[in-house]
Amino acid sequence: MSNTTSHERLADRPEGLQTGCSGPLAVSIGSLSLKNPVMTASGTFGYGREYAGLFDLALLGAVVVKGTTLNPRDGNPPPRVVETPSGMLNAIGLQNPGVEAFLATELPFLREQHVPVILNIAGHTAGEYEEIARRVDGAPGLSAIEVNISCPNVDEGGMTFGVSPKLSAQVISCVRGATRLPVIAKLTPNVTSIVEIARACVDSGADAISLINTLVGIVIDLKKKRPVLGNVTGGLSGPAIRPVAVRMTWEVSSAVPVPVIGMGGISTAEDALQFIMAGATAVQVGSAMFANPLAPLEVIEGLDKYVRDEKVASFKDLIGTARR
Amino acid sequence: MWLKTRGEVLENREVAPSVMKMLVLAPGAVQSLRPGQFFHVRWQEWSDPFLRRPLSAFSSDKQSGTLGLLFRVVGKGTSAMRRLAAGSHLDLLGPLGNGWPGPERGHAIMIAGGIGVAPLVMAAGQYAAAGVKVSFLLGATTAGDLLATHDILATGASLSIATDDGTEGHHGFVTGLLPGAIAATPLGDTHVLACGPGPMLRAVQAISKDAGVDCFVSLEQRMGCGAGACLGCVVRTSVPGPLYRKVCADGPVFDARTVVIEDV
Repeated sequence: MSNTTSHERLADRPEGLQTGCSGPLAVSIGSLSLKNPVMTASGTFGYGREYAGLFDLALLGAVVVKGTTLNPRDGNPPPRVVETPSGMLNAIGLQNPGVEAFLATELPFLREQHVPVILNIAGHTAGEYEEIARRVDGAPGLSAIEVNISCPNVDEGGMTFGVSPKLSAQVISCVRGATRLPVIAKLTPNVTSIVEIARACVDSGADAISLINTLVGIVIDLKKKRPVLGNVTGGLSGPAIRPVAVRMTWEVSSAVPVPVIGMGGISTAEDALQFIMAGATAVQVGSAMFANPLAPLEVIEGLDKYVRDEKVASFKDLIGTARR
Repeated sequence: MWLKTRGEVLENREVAPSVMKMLVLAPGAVQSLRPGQFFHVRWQEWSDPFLRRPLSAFSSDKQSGTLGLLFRVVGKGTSAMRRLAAGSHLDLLGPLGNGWPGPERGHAIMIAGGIGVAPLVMAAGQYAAAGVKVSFLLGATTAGDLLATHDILATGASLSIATDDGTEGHHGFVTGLLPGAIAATPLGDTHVLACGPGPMLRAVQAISKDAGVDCFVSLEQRMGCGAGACLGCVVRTSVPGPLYRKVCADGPVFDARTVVIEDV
């Protein structure tokens, strides 16, 4: 393992990294044990299929799949993405084939990849979230549910819930009651107090918190004199939002007793370590995938090197060290 | 199957105002390349510009392992790529996308506007080699902006030129040449391949439909991953089935009867 220096080699050699759940990078999210703390962020990795030819998905801590709804969704009119300084706006609008297609086609494929699968779910009503959770409960190969109460790009549902402690609690309670799987609440940063929302989710039965979803923004096309995005607004992601995300990871992990999964502009192990030291137990790599599809593997490799170079007995010892 | 490979810039020069032709040594990238496919390109390690740039393959030589890219300098990404000197490195994802349909009939009309010529020259070469008679219609705003004329002629295709200002060839849009080109080929034995700006492609789409000729268009859209995962680069469809299709993975080449072409 000590001579694993390039991602190309790492991608070729699954045994190059610890694959068991007792290695130095192992962490737990509720009852879910992960061999390493690095996941793909929902919406940036499809259902894993698109990248399975590039590297072995089993190297990842977990795959968080595209936000999935009860019924298929077409998504928003294009353009759906636009580059911004050190980041991008997206307004995909939750285009997805629906939960039944996920169960019939995508989950069986992912199961063969031997990687924990976390299903990101979204709905128009609390009842829809509950129904999705019920339908996937007990599905072979599914490890956890991430409840998306933070999508800024749909008219109903998504962020509508996540900006209200009361509605967030309602959705989480419904999902909690419908599944035995670990429930992760994914929060939006577009709120006055993210701590208040996080507390409401944990009080309603969330096993973990993931944050942050994107920050709402607009880019204007000067030639057309109108917004670039078909949806007018979109969600900002990428390195530009990282300090905001680290701050919110710090605040929430100080306030709630459950694991926090940090994300927002993570491209490298150094970026990930900021979240870990701020209090995150695990991280997700999102739009960095677009610049470098091997970014999640490079983060894992970098964390592995860090714990060895710094002689950290257990990765868990690093969590929240900046707050002590 | 696409790969992530590192290429070395062998040459990068301006061939027309704000249009660069770059030759890249990237043996791994060109082995399975088909005309009409593209590469998602990154040239730097830092985070701004954040996204890759999708660039059509303009030429390739499997023996020497070289890839040619032809691109117009329009924003900060292509401005940075303009400055890459020989010896610089490029990070390439690809080859991506479906590419043009293969040569199946006796005749083909290829119609390109401006930098839209980039993905068509390889197709002209492939079609001509397969014995297809290729009529290439090339348009530009002015004679000095005409691109790749020698490359097109070298494929054996016949070349007709149009310029908006009349400085060379037909005075007007290149689409003005299309009805005549269609009329000059046997009906049922030809199809149209087109790439260029939105208004041009919509005109090509309409003319081909009226003439009852199959037409394929190569589209562009603001793109995220390039691999079909993020669903960022969609085009609206005009036929039953999914409302949107992915330019990167379902395209960039679409049957013109199936898509709503918008200006990007």
